[in-house]
Amino acid sequence: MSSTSVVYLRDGATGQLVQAELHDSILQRHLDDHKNHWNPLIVAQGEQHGHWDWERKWSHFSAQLSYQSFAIECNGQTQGLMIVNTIKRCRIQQQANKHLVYVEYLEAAPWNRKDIPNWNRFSGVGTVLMAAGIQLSIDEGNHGRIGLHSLPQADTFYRDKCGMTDLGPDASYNPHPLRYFEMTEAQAAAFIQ
Amino acid sequence: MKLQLSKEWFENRIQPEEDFEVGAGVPTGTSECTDTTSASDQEQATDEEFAETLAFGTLIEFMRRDRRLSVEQLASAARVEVAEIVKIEFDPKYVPHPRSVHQLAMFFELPQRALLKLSNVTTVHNIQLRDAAYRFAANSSKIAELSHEERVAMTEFVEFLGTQDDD
Repeated sequence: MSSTSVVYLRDGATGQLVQAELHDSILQRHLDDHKNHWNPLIVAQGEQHGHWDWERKWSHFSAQLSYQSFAIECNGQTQGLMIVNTIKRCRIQQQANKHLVYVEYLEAAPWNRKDIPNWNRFSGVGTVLMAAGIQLSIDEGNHGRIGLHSLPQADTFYRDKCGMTDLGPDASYNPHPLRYFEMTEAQAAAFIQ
Repeated sequence: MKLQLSKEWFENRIQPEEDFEVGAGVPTGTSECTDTTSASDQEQATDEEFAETLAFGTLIEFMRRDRRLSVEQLASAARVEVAEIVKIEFDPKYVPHPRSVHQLAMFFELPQRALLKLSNVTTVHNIQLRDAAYRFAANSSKIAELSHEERVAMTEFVEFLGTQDDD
């Protein structure tokens, strides 16, 4: 049974916070939004995460207990999606081999990206999803520890905004050696305080 | 899961002028939707975790025998590979795939989170679970039919797992 939390995003047009909903499970309407509203824009832009098929992803991961998903709704539309894995282990020496919440996939709606003009953009999608990942990590007994492989254009968000530790390009993450970021307990506490 | 952060937190965290891009995960054009618990991640249980995996394998074997199922019949009914069932039952250090644990929990109506811990898919352990696993494994022997003592041990262990499903 999924639950919903009240969260806030910032409306790019007014600069004001607007209320949004964080769902702790991706629902069919979120997948429909992706297919019907995200995809046309994504295909038009030809972005590097252009053809992630969330429906296919979720049909694969949803049957596995170790995965959990999140979706943000605001203004009647899905603004962000995330799938996490709760059984991965830490790489930072001080917390090596402890469990963390690993972000398998995270994506914001294309109109929330700065390279798509003339859309009402909401900022804060990544912030909310990271807070959700931290909360899940705490609930799972992992003290807020999270990890992820960042898309290149998002490196500064995880490093500078979230305060995560940058472990550099991960050569084992084939075929794209994306940078691996990890958040310690202290960094998680600082993020959500 | 409930996220309970104040509006002030969002006010401070999401600045009006911030312009960050977000995104994580393997880019397009690569293998998507693969089970990321790959063979290299399919770790062997450590010596400390041995009791749990041994108890997990024994429990699955007992539950199967109690229902008078062959390994093949269980694999078919629970939609798990035969080889996976064999490894679970006969390799006491084998750490199964999370999906297999989920499928077996569903089939045998066992508490799923406790079973994940017992199978060492997660490392959220506790001493009580490990002690109970040792006791259960110690009271088990691989004979054709469950003895009265084995059935009692299995029932007690399943009841104990039910108390471990929340933490």
